[in-house]
Order: sequence, then C-alpha cells, then structure tokens
Amino acid sequence: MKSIRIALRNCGVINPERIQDYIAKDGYLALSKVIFEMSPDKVIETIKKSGLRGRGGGGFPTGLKWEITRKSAGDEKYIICNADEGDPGAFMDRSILEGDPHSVLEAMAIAGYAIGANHGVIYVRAEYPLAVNRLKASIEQAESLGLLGNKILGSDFSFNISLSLGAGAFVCGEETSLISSIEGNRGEPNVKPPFPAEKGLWEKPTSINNVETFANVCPIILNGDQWFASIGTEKSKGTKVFALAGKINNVGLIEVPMGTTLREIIYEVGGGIQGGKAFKAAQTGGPSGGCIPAQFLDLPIDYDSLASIGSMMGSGGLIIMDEDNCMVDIAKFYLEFTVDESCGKCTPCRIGNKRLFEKLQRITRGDGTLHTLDSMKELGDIVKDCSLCGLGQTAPNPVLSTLRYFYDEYKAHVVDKRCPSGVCASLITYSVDQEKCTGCTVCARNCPVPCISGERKMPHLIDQARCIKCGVCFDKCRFDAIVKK
Amino acid sequence: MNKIKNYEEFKKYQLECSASFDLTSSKTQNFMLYVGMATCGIAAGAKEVFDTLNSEIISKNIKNAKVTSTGCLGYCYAEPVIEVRSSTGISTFYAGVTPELAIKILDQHIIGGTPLEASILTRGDAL
Repeated sequence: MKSIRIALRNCGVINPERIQDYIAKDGYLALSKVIFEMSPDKVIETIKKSGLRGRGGGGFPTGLKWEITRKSAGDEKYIICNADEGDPGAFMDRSILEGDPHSVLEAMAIAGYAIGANHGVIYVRAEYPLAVNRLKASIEQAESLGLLGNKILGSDFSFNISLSLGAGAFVCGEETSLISSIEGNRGEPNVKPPFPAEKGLWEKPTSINNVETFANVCPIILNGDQWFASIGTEKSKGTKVFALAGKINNVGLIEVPMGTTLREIIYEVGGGIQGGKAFKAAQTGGPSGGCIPAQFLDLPIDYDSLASIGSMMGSGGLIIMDEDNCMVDIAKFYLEFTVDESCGKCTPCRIGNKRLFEKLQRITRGDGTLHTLDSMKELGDIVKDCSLCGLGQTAPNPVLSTLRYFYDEYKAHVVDKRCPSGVCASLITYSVDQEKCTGCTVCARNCPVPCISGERKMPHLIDQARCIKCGVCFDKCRFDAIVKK
Repeated sequence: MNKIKNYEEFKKYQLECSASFDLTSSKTQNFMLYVGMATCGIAAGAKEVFDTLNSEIISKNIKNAKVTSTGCLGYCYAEPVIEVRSSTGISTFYAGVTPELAIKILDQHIIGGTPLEASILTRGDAL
C-alpha cells in the first residue's frame, strides 16, 4: 500500500485525550525548537522551502501566506484555524481534530510565533461535538503544562487559543465569511482585496489555514524542509488526505503522496469498486469540484493536474461512482447543495445557480432540449466569472465538468428522453417481461401504489399511469421479469 | 501537573512520557488495547466494545493489559476496530469488533496468547 502518514501520523496511534501520549511522539518538540532555536523569519523560510500548500482547497503556498501576514503592519495579528469542514462526504479535518488535536494547537502556536500573533481562533463546526470537546480539553492540558498561554516554556512568547463554533453554514468555510461569522456578523463574504493577511479579523492581519495544513507543520519543522519537499510532485509537495466514499470497497480515510494516480487510490488502497462494477467517474473537491472520467485514471493527482481537467483538489473528499450513477443526477445533487447554501449576497450566485438548477430539473424530467445544454454552459461560465466568493465561483463546476466529459449522457436525456443509468425517475419505465413472469404475485403484493395486476400463476401487468417508479418490483422479483428501461 | 519552566525541563518530561508510552520497555504490562473512538467508531459501536473490555478486565482480574481510546485509523469499512499492541512490538488489528468478540479477544489473545485469526484485519509493527 502506497500510503504515507504525515498529517495523520498520530491518528489511531495515541490516546488523543492524553497530552503525555502526544509528547511521547515528539509533540511540542517542534514548538520548543522554534521558540528557542529559530527566528520567525527562519520558520517562514523553512515552510516556504518545504513547498507546503493550503490543504483546504485553494492550494495557496502556506509559507507565503505567513510571510505576507508577518509583513503586514498591525499592532495585533491573528491566527485562524479553519475547521469548518462542510463538503458532503468529507471528514479529514474531523478525524485529525478527534485523533490528534494537539498537532493543530502546536502548529497554530508555531504560526503565531512566525507571524507575530499572540492569539489564535479555531473556527469549528458545532456539528462536531467530540472534536470540540477534545479541543477544549487539549487546550486546558497544554495551558496547565505551560505549552500554551503566557510565556510558553519560560520564554517571552505567549499564545492563547480560543474556539469559535460555526452554526453549519457552508459559506463560512470561505475565509472572509468565516471572519464575519467570528466577529458576530452574518456569515457573508466580502470583496477581496484587502485579503485577510492585510485586513482580517477585527481589521487586523490574519493568517487563515486549514486543519490539515496545520497538521503538516510540526513534521516539517522537525524533519526539515528538504524531507518534505522530497515527497510529492514538482509543484505539489507532501501528502494529501482523502476521504474515500461512494461505490468503493474500502470506504475510509487515506493519506497518499501527491502525484498518486486515481487508479492506485481506487484499486490498490481502496480495494476496487463495489460488486466488481465498472468505474465511471470520481468526484473530487466536493460541490466546488468536478467529475473525473475514466480516461484520467492514470493522471497523477495534484493541485495543478486537477485544475487542468476542470476539477480541483478541494479539501479531499473523493466520491467514487460506478456505472449505476447518472451524471446528470449527480450534477443536480451538488448544485442543489450549493443553491441551498448560497448566502444570497451576490446576484450571479443567488439567481444564476438557481436557474442552472432549474435547467437540470427540466432535463431530468424529460423537458430539456439541446438548447438547454448550450445555455447551461453559457450560464455556468457567467456564474463562475461574476460571483463574489469561492462558493459561487466554483458552484457550476460539477455541471460544467459533467457536460464536458459526459455530454452523451446529457444528450440521451434531452434527445432520446432516456436515462442510460436508469436513475432519473421521469425517464424510466418498469414493465413485466411476459415470458419470464411466473405469476408469483410478489411484485403485486409489494407494490405501494398498488398498480400491478394479474392472476396467480399468470403473467402480471403494470399500470403505467399509476406507477410511481419506486423500483420495489424490480428489487423484489426473483425471476428478473421486471424490465427497467 | 506543574508548569514546565524551560527547554531543559521539557526535554526531561518528554523522556518520561516516551518511557511510559513505549510498551516494549514495560516489565509488567504486556498488552495495550486501543479502541478507535472517533465519531465514526463510536457510531459503529466502539463505545460498547470499550466499556465491555474495561469491565471484563476488572472482573477477570487481568493485570497485564490496559484499554485506551484512540482516534480514527481510517478503516471506516471495518469499524469498530481495535488494535492489540504487544510488548514484543507487534500490533494486531481486529475488524468489526462486537462486545462478544471483544470478550473472545481477551480470553484467547490476551489470556490464552493465541490471536483470533478469523477476525484479524491486518498485522504490523507497533507504531
């Protein structure tokens, strides 16, 4: 198995509720090394040279972000840990916070030392109660040992960390919305620039980094930038944690070097597709990402390669789809999510995505035309170009990428009025194969409407006018006599 | 615990922590049972397994093993997962552990010394 555990190094290895376990695994060694042996500039230099990029999705170089925040003028500065993990099917950050909370706290203190901040805020979802409790307990433990708080280990450096709980709005994962939310305002984004590194929390220079980014910091300090830079691809260093979900045998959390191919992830680490079915697509980057078709199974995955094929790294949710998934339906699912989560501040995102969603609804109902497809492409591009924040700028990605790679499937929906995967209810019909039907009456007895009639031991018939296309008969028939078209 | 006052004191404290964490240096304790108890593990039933292990260890008066909780190993498909770390430096991971299986693991692996091959997910060097 080709996995390397850096961010997840302690998850499942130590008891996260015992700081002694963490210290035994070199915990807080990086922080003390930084405080007593390195200057802030040296810390930033090390992170820059390591090539670490933001793991939240954007992939901005972490060292550069710290440097800009350090150079920004301000009497006070802040470190924020973005733990507002909201992508459907993603749980990398939760696992790190629950399995190794101290690694995040220590790295925040290191970041604070580097940029000249004395206060850190962790913005964490309230839906993660266990993570919240473990973070609270960990902060207390570290403070009681003098590893956080005032004058850490007797030095002149002080760093305090507090928690801020998010109320479950997806848009608050976007950094300017997150800051608004911490300040007690509505979670709505603001125009950038000024970037948070210049004017962030309470108008002070602020560095916002993702949980997984922080989890990579201590090993870099301890093992050196060259060690980290030796893992991964030319422009994407280190490893990436992925949450494998969907139609894959070994659902779970994996950490692999950047540059690992989808094929290796799915067939070696993930144990292949459920039921031995054919791979159809992988969805990366959650609602902001795109669907990657089978032709890119051997593409080494990193920030730039994913962007070049119309998807994105995102935070690391990786949903595997097989031949039974309808790509139009998948695009509709993700767009419904972003339409729901759009804050409504800017028009392209609020109205544009809604109209895009309605077009998808029309297609899955069987009311779409080829013109609908063209107009979706046009509208999607407009929403991408004109939206205020990352949510709107990426929301059309699932639609645009499926249109690009699965155009034939869209065409089948609008021209032939047929759903090839048999998912879109309005476009499929169930009928009884008169040859195969033995008249066992199982379908008729299980039909919820009920719309199946027929004598015992005689072929049955489905009343198409009353059929609700629930598929119960299809699942229950033991003789393969129900035909789905 | 008192505050650590300087770098030297911290290094000393780290040695103490490492010694107590490292099972291979222990003379009295042979096993450490790690139950994966992140939200996912608990949802799959790890809390019941954890409680069963703890009460069985007391009622059977097992002195050479301890139970502790840990985070997520990533084996979501195999939860609840427990790792039996032994002082010989070998780790054995059990998958789909129920309270009943947990009792068997204690009886056969910890007391009897024979791992339950059928329920083993994977083996490895202790991390």
